[in-house]
Amino acid sequence: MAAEEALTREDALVRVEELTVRFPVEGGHRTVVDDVSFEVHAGEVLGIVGESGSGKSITSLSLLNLVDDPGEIVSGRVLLDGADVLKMRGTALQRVRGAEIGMIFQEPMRSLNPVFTIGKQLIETIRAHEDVKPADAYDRSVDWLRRVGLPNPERVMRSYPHEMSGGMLQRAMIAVALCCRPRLLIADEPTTALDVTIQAQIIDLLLDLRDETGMAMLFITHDLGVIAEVADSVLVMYGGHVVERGDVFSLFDHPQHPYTDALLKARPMPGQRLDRLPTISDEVRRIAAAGVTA
Amino acid sequence: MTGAAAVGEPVAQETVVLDATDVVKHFTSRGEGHGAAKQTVKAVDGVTLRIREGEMFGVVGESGSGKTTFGQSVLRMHEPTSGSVRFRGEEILGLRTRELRRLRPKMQYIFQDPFGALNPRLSVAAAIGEPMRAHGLASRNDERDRVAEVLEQCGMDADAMDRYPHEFSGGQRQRIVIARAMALRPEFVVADEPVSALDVSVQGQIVNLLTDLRDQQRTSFLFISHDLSVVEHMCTSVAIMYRGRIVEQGTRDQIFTDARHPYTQELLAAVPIADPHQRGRRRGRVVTREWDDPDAVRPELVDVGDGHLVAL
Amino acid sequence: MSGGGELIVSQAVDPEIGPGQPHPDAGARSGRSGRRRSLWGESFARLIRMPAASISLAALVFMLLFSFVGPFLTGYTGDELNLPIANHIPTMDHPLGTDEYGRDVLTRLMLAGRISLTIGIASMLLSLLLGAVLGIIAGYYGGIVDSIIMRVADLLMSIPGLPLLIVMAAVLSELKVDPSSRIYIVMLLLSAIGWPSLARLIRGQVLSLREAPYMKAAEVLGLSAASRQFRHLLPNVMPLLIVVATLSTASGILSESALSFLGLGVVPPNASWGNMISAANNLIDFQQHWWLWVPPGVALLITIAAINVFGDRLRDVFDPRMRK
Repeated sequence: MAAEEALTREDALVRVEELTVRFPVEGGHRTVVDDVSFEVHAGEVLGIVGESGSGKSITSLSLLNLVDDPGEIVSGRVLLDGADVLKMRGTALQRVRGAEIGMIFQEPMRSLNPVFTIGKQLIETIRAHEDVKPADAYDRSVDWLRRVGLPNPERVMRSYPHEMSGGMLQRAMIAVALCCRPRLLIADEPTTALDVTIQAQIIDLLLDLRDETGMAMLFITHDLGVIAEVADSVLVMYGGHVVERGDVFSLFDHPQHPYTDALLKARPMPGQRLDRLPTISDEVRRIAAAGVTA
Repeated sequence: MTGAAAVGEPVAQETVVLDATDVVKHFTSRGEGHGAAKQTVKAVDGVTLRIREGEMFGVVGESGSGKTTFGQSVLRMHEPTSGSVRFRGEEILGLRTRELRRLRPKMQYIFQDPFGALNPRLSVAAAIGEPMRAHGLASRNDERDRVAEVLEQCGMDADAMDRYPHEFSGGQRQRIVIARAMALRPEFVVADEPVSALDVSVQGQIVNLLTDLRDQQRTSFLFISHDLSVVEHMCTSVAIMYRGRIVEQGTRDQIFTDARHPYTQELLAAVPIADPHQRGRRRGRVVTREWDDPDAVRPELVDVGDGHLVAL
Repeated sequence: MSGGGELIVSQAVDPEIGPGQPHPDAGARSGRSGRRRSLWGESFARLIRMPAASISLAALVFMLLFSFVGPFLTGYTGDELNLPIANHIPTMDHPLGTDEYGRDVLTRLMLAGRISLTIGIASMLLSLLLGAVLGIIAGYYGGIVDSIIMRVADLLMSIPGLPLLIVMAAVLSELKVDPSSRIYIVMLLLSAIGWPSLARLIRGQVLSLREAPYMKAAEVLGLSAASRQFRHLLPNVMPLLIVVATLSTASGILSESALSFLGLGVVPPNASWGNMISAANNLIDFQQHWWLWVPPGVALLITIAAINVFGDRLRDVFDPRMRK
């Protein structure tokens, strides 16, 4: 056991241990993330799948210590190179955010500052983490915009978020997140708000970037179809805890937990013409909520 | 050219519930700055289709396709710029407000966003009951009973009646929205992306609900969606919209097994497949859309056999 | 468990929980369990729990009681002349001393409160009524109706309030209107000045709410225009209205005080906090008879501060919660 641990400890880029997050509600607290542990290895895509409210987004925010009041991280550690992110403050934390771990969100329109041009936000991000001259930062920004597939990158540099479409904005957000070459990219439902054809392109883009840079990805979604396309390993979450985990092939071929099984069946497959779509029963939800892990 | 042939055999006029012909909706905005020309957005640029009684007709498109505008135009939530919309043979585009209100119970709308579609300051009972009373489907005495009935039909407990929208989850709110629409016993319902705002796992419940309601009440649905898998499951006829026009239209089989238009093919190829063994199938493909020339005249729909229409 | 096609039409169990929402146990089907409360009741309960809100509310209640009930308890009428003890420093008999005519300052302070508060509240109600009705009509109908109403509002807003009031009040003085009627006239003047900004705020709110999906829904459901405006739109405008009303009361009280201080609003023998403070204009009173002008100043301070704090908390209670 110790040898195994030693091995995984070396491999893991980020290690989350017993993370617990709660929010105050009338009459007490609600535990939104309950004793969650997992690892992400370099170059790996870990998919976290769960329904709304399963705690997957809060988990990802915790990795960057971004859980705001009134929520609080009650216990747990987030180890990056052995150092606990949750204990970091000031410049050390700032370094992690952006330069070590990048993040993209579901609604690009809301995550980019509407009063700054894309170029300004990119340059600012680069110069916040690295000591480069403005001209170099500009060049690098243009380069990244090109890399994420935006035509006419110089023009995009001068554009404001509201002038761009959803798909273009999401690409720009990816550029901002990656411009400082983080080792891990957290993508929280990055394609949910996008058209399906754009979604496909963004997924392809992210995978290409992963191949080029060797970065790891934490990909959060409620859509198992996307997980199948993207993930190497999968965590299934419900009600704040991990219900099942494994590599993507085993999970899809032989789901162990009834909830995972129900989730897989809930999605209409192409070519399938059922009388009724399967749904997830109360029974299964009860089991999942009880915290029985497969 | 018309959609009548699109569903196969010649259609008797009386079973057609909704007959939309060449519906056009343009939005003009004053240009920005001095002297700039007015800009016209052709949101819907000539759409024709027919929906029969009890049919689930799917309209698929992405943002900018005009599908929502079309769905709203058909109910006169926007006034169409031109065209004709007949409900059971009666032209509704020229109707005056009072006559239109008489027809309202028969033609309803389900919103995409369950969070915005319910008035936050009305209880569920009031939200569902008031329209029923206004159209004579319930009286003051039996209003609560009727509301309870409709809620149960839509899978909600009757005691949801006295609660407010913010106390419910998205899926539950969508049920309330559906209940509110179905309480009027409509014959035709435009369902605008009713499940898009919901988790995939919850979509099934709502989809099943709509199918049940259709079976129980022979309601016709115009089912607007960007999600092909759901449409394939539910709809017997499908039209694909792109930038204001239908580019392909046909039966479910025709569209899903024999897609001819490149946009339809693109849509089908983009649907994520929940099978990791099949990934990588489309990696590295670049989408060019050479067939989409903004300056060229757009091709008309052509029947390629058995009512399968393609605009090429 | 995993058969294809588990028909669950009757169970609407959605685990869409965010912080603050109850975790739906299997079986919880219709939202939050617990007592049913009206929306207003819930808001009020939340409001009371905030310390700033309850303290300021208590202060307001105190000032109201002080002004309206207090005079019955002091044993003076506030009009009794008692020249021998004029300008006397506070004693047990006269806790706030006496004024130049020997009248009990405490009682006069309370009576002044009655007038100042009444004027503030009444003028607020009037301008609210005017502003709300005009704002809703302008916002809902748009077009030329909107233009006319807004241009009139703009006109009134572009004239500086206090100078206008001063001019109008000076005109009234010339016309030798009797002091009691002046109070009502001041109220009307304040409302005339106050309604445009209210109307603007409400119109803005109506404009944005008008496009909300639930308003379109009301139209598709075939509800009448009257119902849409008053049963559907108005309740959503109410929270803003209430906050705005509260805050404009403060402004009304202050305006009246300023006018009266200048001798143009409420004039002697009637007392208002404003005209009591004008004692400070007299050097001797200012230096030697602090009990004449400090208490009304403090009373004003407490009242205005309490109204503002309460109004702020009201805004907090209404805004983020109702949005979801």
